[in-house]
Amino acid sequence: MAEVGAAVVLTGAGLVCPAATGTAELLAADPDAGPDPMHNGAGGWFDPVPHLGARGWKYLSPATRYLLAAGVLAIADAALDPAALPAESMGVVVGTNLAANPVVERLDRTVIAEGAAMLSPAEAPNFSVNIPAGHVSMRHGMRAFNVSLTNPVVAGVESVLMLAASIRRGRAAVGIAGATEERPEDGWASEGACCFVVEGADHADRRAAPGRAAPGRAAIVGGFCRFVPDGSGPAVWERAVGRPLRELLARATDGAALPYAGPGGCGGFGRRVDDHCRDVSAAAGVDLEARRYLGDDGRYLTASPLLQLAGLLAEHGRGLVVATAPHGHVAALLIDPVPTHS
Amino acid sequence: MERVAVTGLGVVSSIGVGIDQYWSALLSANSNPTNVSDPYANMANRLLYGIDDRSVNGAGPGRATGAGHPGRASAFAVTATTAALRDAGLDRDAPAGTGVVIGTGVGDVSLFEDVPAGATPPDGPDRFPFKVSSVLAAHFGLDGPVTSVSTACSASAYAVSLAADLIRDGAADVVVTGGTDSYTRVGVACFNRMGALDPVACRPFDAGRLGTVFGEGAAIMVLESESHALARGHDRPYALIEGAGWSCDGHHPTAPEAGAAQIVRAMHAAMDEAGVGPGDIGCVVPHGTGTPLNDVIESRGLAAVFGEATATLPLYSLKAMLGHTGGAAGGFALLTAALIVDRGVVPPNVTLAEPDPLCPVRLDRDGLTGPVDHALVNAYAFGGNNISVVIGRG
Repeated sequence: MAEVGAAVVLTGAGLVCPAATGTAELLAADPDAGPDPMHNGAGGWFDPVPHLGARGWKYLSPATRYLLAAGVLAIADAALDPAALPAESMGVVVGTNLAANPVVERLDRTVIAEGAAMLSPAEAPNFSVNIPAGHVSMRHGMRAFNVSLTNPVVAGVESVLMLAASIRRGRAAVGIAGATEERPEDGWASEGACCFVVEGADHADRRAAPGRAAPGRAAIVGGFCRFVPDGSGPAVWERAVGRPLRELLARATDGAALPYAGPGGCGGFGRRVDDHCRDVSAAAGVDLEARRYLGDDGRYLTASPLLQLAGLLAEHGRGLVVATAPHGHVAALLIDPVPTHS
Repeated sequence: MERVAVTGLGVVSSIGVGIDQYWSALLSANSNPTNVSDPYANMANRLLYGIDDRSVNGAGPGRATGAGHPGRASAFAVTATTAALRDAGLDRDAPAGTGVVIGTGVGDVSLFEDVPAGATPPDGPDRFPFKVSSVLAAHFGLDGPVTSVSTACSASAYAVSLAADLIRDGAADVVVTGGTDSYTRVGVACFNRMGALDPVACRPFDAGRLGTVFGEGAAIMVLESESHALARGHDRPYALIEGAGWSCDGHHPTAPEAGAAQIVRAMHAAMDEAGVGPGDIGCVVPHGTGTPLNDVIESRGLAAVFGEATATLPLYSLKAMLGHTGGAAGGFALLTAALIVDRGVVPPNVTLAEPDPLCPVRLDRDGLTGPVDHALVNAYAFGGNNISVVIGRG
């Protein structure tokens, strides 16, 4: 959503997907390893117990379970204790495309074949795509707000930007931003979740968040989300991508080559955005150094760009993520080392 | 800070397409649901405040763009946006950088739910169910910030709040915003199973209410920075988006928190941001779904905010006319509130058979005429996603 300044920081990351759990496994995973091992179909690779405990998750959708697990890992990574903070100071923003659709298709088959009376009342709420985010608020007592964003592919990046903007606006001091997906039955996308603890820098300082030097913690310098309609000419590309990217790069504090995770899995449009970003950056005197992490091919939809962000955060503590959707969406997010005050 | 003006409105609803038809229907205070004509709707309660697709240009499989084929929700939104941009005087040349923020609960679910009836399974960009904002941006050639919000039944109120933020932050001068949702077989089936549907009609605050009844449609507003509107000679907006308050119950997946603490917080936050107090609010468009518990808790929250004045504060119970339009509901409430403050008329409420004594709110059967300087809109949702918005006279 809105551009944000450097007063908001990422203080923790967590992720679960079929090929990696946690940032260490993400960094070790080969992004070219091929399709995910899915084991027994959707969710077969995932054991909720280590993350969510033995009870309480039976009727949660797969996307909800993944999101909760990623959130727990992010909170642990940030050494955040939600129970020690005012509930109204903590917000949640989640991006997703398919958190509900596979559920809806399963429920629809039951409705058509057996009737609505045969639906499980405990599972019925899962037709609503905001239920995964709602469970994050319930689990951690985060009551500032709870928002689900659903733009194709870019909604995960938007979730981080929106939470950061909301913190700057004073609507929260800290929160969880993330993305989650369930694998569709025909397997055209994979599944998993990725979450970050996003926090006002002053709030992080006050609670003495882990004082690690980067990597592992970074400031959100800013970002943007725009749309490039099909068939747009150079003026639109300049307005929607060129100018906001130049403005963003001008705010990077480090003049060294910038780690860059570009768009993947969006065909010709993604490649064109990638080319445009490289051209704009070169013209601005910024050297982009390509980095790729698991999911850079877009297989995790909204979570894919966040896995790239998690990789950059863990490995470099700085970098640029650019995500696209074939419909015409472009989103970018720049992180930099947390400024020191001494 | 830049003021946010409402300069264009467009609507597709079960009671009319276009603002004139819609407002005229509201003044009639007469609306009833019918059984949905879906042969696969294998459920006891099939009531819907539905839309005849023949009344909507482009409904059904419409012109494909780079963002795919519009489902019914997108088609409703395209029709309503066409009208809203025309109403704002921006239909020939929407400004560069115009944004889109749309709230929808189920998106283009019709593309998926039509498959059992023989429709082609969604492919390519159509595999993404929540692409209404994408379709609008592609259809109208809009290249600003484009976002899709899906906080269930509060989605479009959040969309409007976020759109106003974009303008206040200087990220856009003009934003197309609001909400859209269409009939969902699975959604109605799930509400059947949860016992949350009324077998008669949507009857918020009636003692005999037994649940909600779904509706469908799109409510679209053109928001614009006041300075941009004035610069192009538009000095008579319908209304101003003055403030919003967000909160989350964090309590239960579907049930509201009985103490109403978070909805009270949202109402106060909205008024604080707007710079008004409870005494300045001239009308409330409540969430009011007809669900027995929700209406009682919202009434409790209103009493906590407005105190004794609750008994004399006019409410306009919109869902009694439209049914519960899901993710579009907040957008419909805000669009209606814009008309209320613009026209100085609170439409007559649908007559209740028996007002619920546990919901001591004022629902005028004859409507009211007179200036309404500020109206408060509430929207709540699964997951305890609450929002209140203050809308003021332009």
